[in-house]
Amino acid sequence: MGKTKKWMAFGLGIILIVTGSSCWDRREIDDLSFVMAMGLEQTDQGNVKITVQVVKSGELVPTAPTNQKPYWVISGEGRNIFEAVRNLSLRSPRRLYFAHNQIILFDRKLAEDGLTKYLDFFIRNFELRKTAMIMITVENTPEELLNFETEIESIPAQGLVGIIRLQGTNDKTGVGTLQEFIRTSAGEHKSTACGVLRIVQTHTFPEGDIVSPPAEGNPQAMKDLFIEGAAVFLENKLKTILDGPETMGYRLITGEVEKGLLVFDCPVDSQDEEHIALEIVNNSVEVKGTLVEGKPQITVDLSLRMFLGEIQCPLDILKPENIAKVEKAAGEKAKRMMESAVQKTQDVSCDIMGFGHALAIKDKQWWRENREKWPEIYAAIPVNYTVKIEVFSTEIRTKQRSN
Amino acid sequence: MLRTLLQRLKGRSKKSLLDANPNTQEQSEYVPIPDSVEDIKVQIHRELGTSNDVAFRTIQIGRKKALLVFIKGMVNSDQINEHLLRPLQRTNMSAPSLSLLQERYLSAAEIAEHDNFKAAVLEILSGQVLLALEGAAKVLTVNTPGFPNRAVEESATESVIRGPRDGFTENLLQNTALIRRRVMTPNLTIQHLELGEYSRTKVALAWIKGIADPLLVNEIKKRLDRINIDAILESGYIEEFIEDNPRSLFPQLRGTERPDKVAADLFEGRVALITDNTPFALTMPVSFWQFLQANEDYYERPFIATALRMLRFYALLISLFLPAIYVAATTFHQEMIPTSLALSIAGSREGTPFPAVIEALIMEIAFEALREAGVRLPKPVGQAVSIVGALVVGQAAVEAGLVSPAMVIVVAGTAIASFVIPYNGLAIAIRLLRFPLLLAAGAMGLYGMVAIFFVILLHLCSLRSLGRPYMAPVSPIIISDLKDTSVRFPIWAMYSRPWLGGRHNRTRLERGGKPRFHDRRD
Repeated sequence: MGKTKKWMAFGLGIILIVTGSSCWDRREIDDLSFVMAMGLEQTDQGNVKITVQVVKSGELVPTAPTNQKPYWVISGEGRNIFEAVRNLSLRSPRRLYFAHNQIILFDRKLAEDGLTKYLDFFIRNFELRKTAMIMITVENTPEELLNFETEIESIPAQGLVGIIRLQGTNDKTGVGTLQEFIRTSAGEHKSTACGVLRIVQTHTFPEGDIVSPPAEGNPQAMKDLFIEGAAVFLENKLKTILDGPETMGYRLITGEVEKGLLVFDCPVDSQDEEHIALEIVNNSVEVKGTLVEGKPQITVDLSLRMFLGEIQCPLDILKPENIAKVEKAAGEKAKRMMESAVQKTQDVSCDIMGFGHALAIKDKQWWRENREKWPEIYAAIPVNYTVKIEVFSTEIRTKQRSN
Repeated sequence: MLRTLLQRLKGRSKKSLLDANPNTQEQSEYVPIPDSVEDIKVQIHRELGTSNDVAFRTIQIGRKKALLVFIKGMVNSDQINEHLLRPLQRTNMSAPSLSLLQERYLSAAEIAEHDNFKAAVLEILSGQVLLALEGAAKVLTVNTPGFPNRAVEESATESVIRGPRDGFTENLLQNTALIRRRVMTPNLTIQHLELGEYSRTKVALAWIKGIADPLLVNEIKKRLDRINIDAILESGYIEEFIEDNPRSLFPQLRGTERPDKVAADLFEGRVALITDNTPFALTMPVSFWQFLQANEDYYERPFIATALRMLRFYALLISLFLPAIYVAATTFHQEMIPTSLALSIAGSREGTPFPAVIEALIMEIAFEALREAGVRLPKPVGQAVSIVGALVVGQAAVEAGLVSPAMVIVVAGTAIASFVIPYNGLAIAIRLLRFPLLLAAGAMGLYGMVAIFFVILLHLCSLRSLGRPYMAPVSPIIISDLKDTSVRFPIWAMYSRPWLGGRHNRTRLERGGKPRFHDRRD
């Protein structure tokens, strides 16, 4: 072969590579519909129903405002998830693209029956991200929730993500990604927790301590998306749901708290209902397992450094004894929250706080012998709490309230 | 590789510049000077043909006839009148001789004596005045340059905020003088040669003895010696003859209009080649990184110079990769794009008819066409081009839905980045390389892009400039030279000359030059 021919063959090869391979794995970004959130529920026939929220990207162009919703919710059914997803594509003119999926919702009923058989799809599929958040829907179906708009974000899934991202300021939500969920539920205790999601009427918040008047007219404005609490799983089955303060107690024990508040009554005698709010700045926690005469015990050493965020009562905070009073009251509040969280998980024998791990570190031999019996032992294990609260800053005001 | 090249050169070169006086290279043929003035006239007519711009002036000096021959327009007639005609006509010598005239009457600075008629005629062509005297076996050539010169002014292509404003002109001697002004050491050597059989373009080779590698100078002379061409019109002609890899896209010599750049290169042991009739001088050997440096880097503070060099480097990467990355990410790797960005790109591409790679090609080609039109068109029309470009490409195409706004941003970003590259020779190479990268990205995504990039990188690492590695001091790594690569150390901290040119005399300055406070007691 001459030199010219060689070069021509080389050039032809390049052209063929460039033009011939153009179908392989290639997909234009505007031929995809981005799935932002998906939900799973069970139908009455025993099929699985998948609901996805996809973005109508054309509606997001700022120059062409239309009054249409920028998202679209469609559902499909099948005997398993993959079939349901493929059935979805019968209704979607564009290829569903799951790589940007941010939230996976499981219906409460589905979760109670067990998630094990559904998780395989999520682990196996290479397009789905393991960093998607897992949420359990209570009282509403995933379909309702995916259709629910938050006021600020135009795409509901992004509104949800926004709320989840801010949950650290409350510490009342158990948040877990798919990856964490899989890891912990396959761990030693087969127990895990994740967030809980519901739509509530604004005037009947579950805690009952926040009351806002229902808005007139728009029925949707009377409702709000509400993420609070944690769903407790054992062997991928939903066992119980912790409410907000319990979730905070759970997070205090696991050390996940970020900037949550401790709100409690003022430690002064007063006719009015007056509260103090402390904000968590630093936290450190140690869960220690001990064996006292062969019987396991757990000690939770919690230490919080806090800002004095708000004080409604006339308490002279320049006096150290008053600060000590506040710290004591806060400690009691934190202890109560932890106790109730532990109590609730003990009722269903779900060791989501990792107490068994603490005991296994303490005495390997004991743990090997008692591993099988652990759920029963956990249900009755005595737990001691030592709480050390330090209010180290009163922020920029030092005077007491002037009447 | 260099050795075989040298051997090849040795075998092929018939005549060598190394030993011969470069001024006499084409004067192998010896023709004696005719005795009578009339014969000289006839001979010159025979040599120069019937050109009308050759002027003859016969005068009588005592009993002898004399002849002045020059080319109109290339000499200064005032000077001829004052320094040649007037003193010659006023002599009262009865028996003049050339040496007497030269010593006593001709008040011109540059006078040369010739006994070879051919050589003397060639001197006429380069703008000298020939003075022949009846019966003298020699002729004189007097230099009275009268060629219209552009004044020394600021270079249009390499402007600075801080730094000298003088730039080279089309006059070789003026250019070498500008270099001499900066390099006053007696070690500065400037050798003149002539290249081009018909154009007889003067070329000056300049280096500093004691800093530049003599082998390098020899190598350059040998390469110049091989040039056998009818005409040299610009230093680009020479560049193509003496570069190491003629099939490469990348510039392997550096052309510059600025004498301070040339001087700086000379001080670093490089060799400069100045060509007559063009303001662009070549310096060699070069490294890739030099093309990302500006002379102002050394005139401003080192920190800002470092920041600007980084900026140029990133601009280089952006102008090379941005369209390819955009195409690869939007057609293959959508999962790599952050969600909100992916959504807005998808939204902006909504309804556009072409695949992203075709769209990118169209836009890039349109932009290159606009740029080319802007460079070549006369200035008043150039404005019209930019208006059309901004309206058609920027707005109408987007509004018509043919092109997505995101692509316009990508193309604009690429364009801005490519303007940041200070050396045009490199910028055009990058402009061209963008297209294979784009096609590879469109065909095989990031995989294809990276594959092509590796080919480019391998090519760069294999390049040589005058036999010296092109990517030095990064590959091969020369730690001390990294002080002046993508960062710029303070001048007092750069002790040594770059290895590339100055490895024979590396000490540039004494250590301890850092400014310090002098106590009064010192």
